[in-house]
Amino acid sequence: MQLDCDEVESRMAAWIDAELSPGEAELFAQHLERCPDCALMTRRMEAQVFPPIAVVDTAVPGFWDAMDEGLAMAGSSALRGTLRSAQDSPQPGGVAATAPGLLRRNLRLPGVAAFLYAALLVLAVGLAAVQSVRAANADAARLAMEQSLERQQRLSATASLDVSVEPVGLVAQGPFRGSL
Amino acid sequence: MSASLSLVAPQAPAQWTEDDIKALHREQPQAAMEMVVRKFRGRLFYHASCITKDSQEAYDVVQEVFIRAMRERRFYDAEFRQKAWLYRVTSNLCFNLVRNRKRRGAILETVPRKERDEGDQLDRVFRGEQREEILAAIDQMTDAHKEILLLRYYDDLSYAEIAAVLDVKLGTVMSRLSRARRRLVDVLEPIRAD
Ligand SMILES: [Zn+2]
Repeated sequence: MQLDCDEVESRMAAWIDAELSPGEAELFAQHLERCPDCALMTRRMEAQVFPPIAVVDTAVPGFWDAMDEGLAMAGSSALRGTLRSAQDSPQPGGVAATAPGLLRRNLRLPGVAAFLYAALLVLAVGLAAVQSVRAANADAARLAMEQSLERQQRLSATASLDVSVEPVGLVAQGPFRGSL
Repeated sequence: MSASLSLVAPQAPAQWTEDDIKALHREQPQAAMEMVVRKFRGRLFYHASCITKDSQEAYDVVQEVFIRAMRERRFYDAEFRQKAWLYRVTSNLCFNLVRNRKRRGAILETVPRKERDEGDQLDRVFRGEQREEILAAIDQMTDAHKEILLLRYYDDLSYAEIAAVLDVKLGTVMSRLSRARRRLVDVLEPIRAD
């Protein structure tokens, strides 16, 4: 079995990048030995260099702050959708507990962690609210959910102050371990 | 109720595999999303910057990508390819943006020159003659060729990963990359011969 020029040409990048299987690489090399045209083109391609492109330095402190904030805001509206669909079709089992006291904790997470944290709080409160709807009082539950959304928004708005904290560690120590 | 903390601790999101992140999501969904953001935002920003050549636009694109990831219900499914999905959405948003900009550019030709200069900061994040040369060459290529060159030689994805991003067969990755590099030979060698 041999490779023809077209087959070799379509494998030149893979040959240079060492992405050919050993069998194909062998066939490729055999073709180059008997075909000067393909050998020359392979050498010209090999001579190509792709120097790194200079992009603004993402390691600058605070570089991602604006994105964290943007994600926090988007997260709260995405969550409203989640809550609405949860209300339409309540999941059996649901969430273990609401923990209103946690809302008063002094959170100092970077933005993303903060919004995810806040999102989880709202989800917990919201799903608990769904369960109370099933139990008895629909209006009170809806009110509770709206209030928790407001609290969550305030939380997101103020929680991205201290970026020096490692967010994952904080989440790991947080009170919501395994609660969902 | 206490969850296993074995997965939570690393300072280096880059070392987390998608399976790690999916496992984390079962225990701590909020930490999983944050891990996704921290693991991929730098690479995606680079990828977006290479296509848009505008750091602010790239930044906005990456943020939008993560918002879409948060709304993607399958994102933590066992079979879901997170990295491929993230790069694909980033590419698509960027190429749409660039196309719209070109359309706007055609309209801007009729706008007074001063105004146009102030609005035009496209290349401000790129420096160096050689870089400009190869970038100029890559810029002349089709979106498909531009994208596959970036994915391989700037984002450092394997052929298998590229196949997943583009949703094509491995053989197609090989032939498309070869054609793109062949085209680069055609474009760059006459420049260097001058
Ligand atoms: Zn040949």
